[in-house]
Amino acid sequence: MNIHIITSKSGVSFFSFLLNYGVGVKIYDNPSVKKFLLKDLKIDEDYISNRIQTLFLNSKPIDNIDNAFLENGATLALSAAMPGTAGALFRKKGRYAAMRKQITYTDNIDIKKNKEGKIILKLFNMPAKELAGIIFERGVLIEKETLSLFLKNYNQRITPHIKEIHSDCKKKDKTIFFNRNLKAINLKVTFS
Amino acid sequence: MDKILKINMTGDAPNFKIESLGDYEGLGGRAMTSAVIYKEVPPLSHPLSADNKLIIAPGLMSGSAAVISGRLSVGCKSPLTGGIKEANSGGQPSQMLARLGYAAVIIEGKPKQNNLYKLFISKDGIQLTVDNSLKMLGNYDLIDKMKEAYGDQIGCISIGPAGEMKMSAASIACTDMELRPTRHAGRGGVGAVMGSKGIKVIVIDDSGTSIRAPKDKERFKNANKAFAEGLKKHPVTGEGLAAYGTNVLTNIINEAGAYPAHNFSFGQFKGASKISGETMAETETKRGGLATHGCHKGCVIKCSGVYNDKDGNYLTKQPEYETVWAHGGNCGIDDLDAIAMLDRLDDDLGIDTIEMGAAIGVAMEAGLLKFGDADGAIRLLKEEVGKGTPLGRVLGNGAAVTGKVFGVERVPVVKGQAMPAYDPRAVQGVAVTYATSPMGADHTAGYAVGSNIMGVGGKTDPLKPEGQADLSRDLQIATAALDSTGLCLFISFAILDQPETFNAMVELLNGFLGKDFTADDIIELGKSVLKNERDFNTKAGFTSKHDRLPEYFKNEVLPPHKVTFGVSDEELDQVFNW
Repeated sequence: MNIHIITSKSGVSFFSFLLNYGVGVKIYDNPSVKKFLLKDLKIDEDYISNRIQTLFLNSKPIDNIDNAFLENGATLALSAAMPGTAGALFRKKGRYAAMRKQITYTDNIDIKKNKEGKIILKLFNMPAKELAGIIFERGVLIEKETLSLFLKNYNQRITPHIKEIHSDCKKKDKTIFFNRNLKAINLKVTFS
Repeated sequence: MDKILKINMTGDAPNFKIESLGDYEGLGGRAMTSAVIYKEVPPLSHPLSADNKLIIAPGLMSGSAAVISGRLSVGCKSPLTGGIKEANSGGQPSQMLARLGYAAVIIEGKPKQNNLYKLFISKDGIQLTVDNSLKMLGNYDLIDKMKEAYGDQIGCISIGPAGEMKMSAASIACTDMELRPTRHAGRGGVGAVMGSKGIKVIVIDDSGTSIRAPKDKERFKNANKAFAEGLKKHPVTGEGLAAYGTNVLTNIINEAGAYPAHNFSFGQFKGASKISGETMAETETKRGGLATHGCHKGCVIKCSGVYNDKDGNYLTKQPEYETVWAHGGNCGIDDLDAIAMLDRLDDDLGIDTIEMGAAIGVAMEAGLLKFGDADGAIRLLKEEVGKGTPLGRVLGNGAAVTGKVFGVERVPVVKGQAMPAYDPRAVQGVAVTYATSPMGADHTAGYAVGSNIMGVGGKTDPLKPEGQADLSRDLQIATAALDSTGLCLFISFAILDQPETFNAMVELLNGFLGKDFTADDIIELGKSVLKNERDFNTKAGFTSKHDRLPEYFKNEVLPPHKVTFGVSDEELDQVFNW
């Protein structure tokens, strides 16, 4: 099912919760992480360089986003700089990167090539809040379990922010989104 | 700070005297506590004996207008590790003791009778009185009584029932800005040593004192401004910590596969997002608590918060990442309210959250409870540890004792102290610090506090796979120095990334003390602290064999990365070869 929600501007931030759990995003031709963020998600280059300081591909910290490539089924996670020694050592090209060298992403990993695929994209902390608008405007796939948790936590608070809901290009009653029997959905969120 | 208060608890009538600093002139925080222990405590003494001493020392700049300078060091020979210990706390007492002029309070000896004392310190003098009505009070009730007796302009350093029962995981509580006992010198059983001295609470009233003046006012003022601006403009110290607290790490460490789940059996926890910093901040705000709050006056980072229960009533301060992990993922618990309740109980009983969570994790591994049993964990803490039952005393003496009693091999400790929230197989550089720190497994012993800018170990390529031992050594030296200043370790990112903020920090110290310290001097300070600590431990019987992780980390593969700990013993032995 395809659902398009039009909210108030402040309403979009509630959806950042979904990004913590991970959302499905389509990829084409095994892009590099850099290309995916820049060209597909259309995130500003300065933001990628300066704000996104911590990245994991299949749980492996990435230092070089030009040489890390996405394949069908991969999980990509993005975060700002984090505190503590652990925060310092997980940063891309950080001073203490050697302290986690055993799990670092290396660019000699073989990937399975596909014309089209789907990855799980996770965003944490500030990037989740700041990029929610861009990500949801593009459209993402939400699994049933994540959607149920989201509705349980945000049902009442998000309702006043929702202006319209469309399903498969037809305007629908708001309740369609809060139907607990929904399975996985393609969700697009914009604001007006 | 030009004097030391010495309390001698020996005999029928404990007494006190005020001494000049003597050999300890110019020392503060961890440098002070470790120097006193090294010089005055017999290394082979029993930690709960009259020979051990409890040293409480404000950092060098505490009590001044220097931002975020209110850290307090508490030192002794540890009943948990048998080695030297410095446990560090936020809260108000450090600033207050420093303004009263005390560079240290040293408690020595042991009372003859089973009396419990309270110590009152103000500008008008010292009162040491027996008050057995305080026996077995939790920290929250205790502080309420102190407020009734002394008013609400005080600060308190206290122990709960765990300290009175001399449990090896007992902490010492420091009150925060709201006069709640929420900040703790948690690690190593320092609360048990305070309990062995028979002191329940130290009440500090700094009324009538003034802020400590810097030697060079202009230099200090300018540096303080630049330092505060540097902290505020950095995304970690100015934004991330304030918005989500230290628990912002849960999602990250879990994603990295370095989050020890189910007593270090897995590197990821399915329920991590339910207990993450993002979820916690959201919950706190929704319930009328606070997602951003400082632990002491003068803090500009404000990494703490206020956690209210479902009805909107205060339950505890915002639990930190280590606490959320210890009682959460480590025990398979993904219920934030249960974790907050465990944090409240820990603070009230006066017990280290990391050690307690690790001990419960080991007990779960032994089959005492199922992983994920939040109600069972609360019951263990409340009904067993809190009431001092035999089982409670086992748990309250930490993960190592619990593992021995229940016959568990997977016990995550070094030198008897439980590991914090980073699996040593996934982050092996941190594991080197766990193994070699004189304190036992401790994530704050090798903090990323700008060793690069200080030039410790020289300039190196960050991606060059150089020795983990070299990096750990650099960090331990830098951390030991910072722990002596009174500054909070969370300034680390700003001074790591921004040379001008590091320079402002050095200028701040120089402006305050009227000195011209260089980065080299700071490195030497860090080395001298570590040398005292290592030498004490050697005399206490520690050898290189104690600088090791438990064997199972070398043999058991950690999912999802399928890694084991691979740093050689030879490399570990090079950490302190500077």
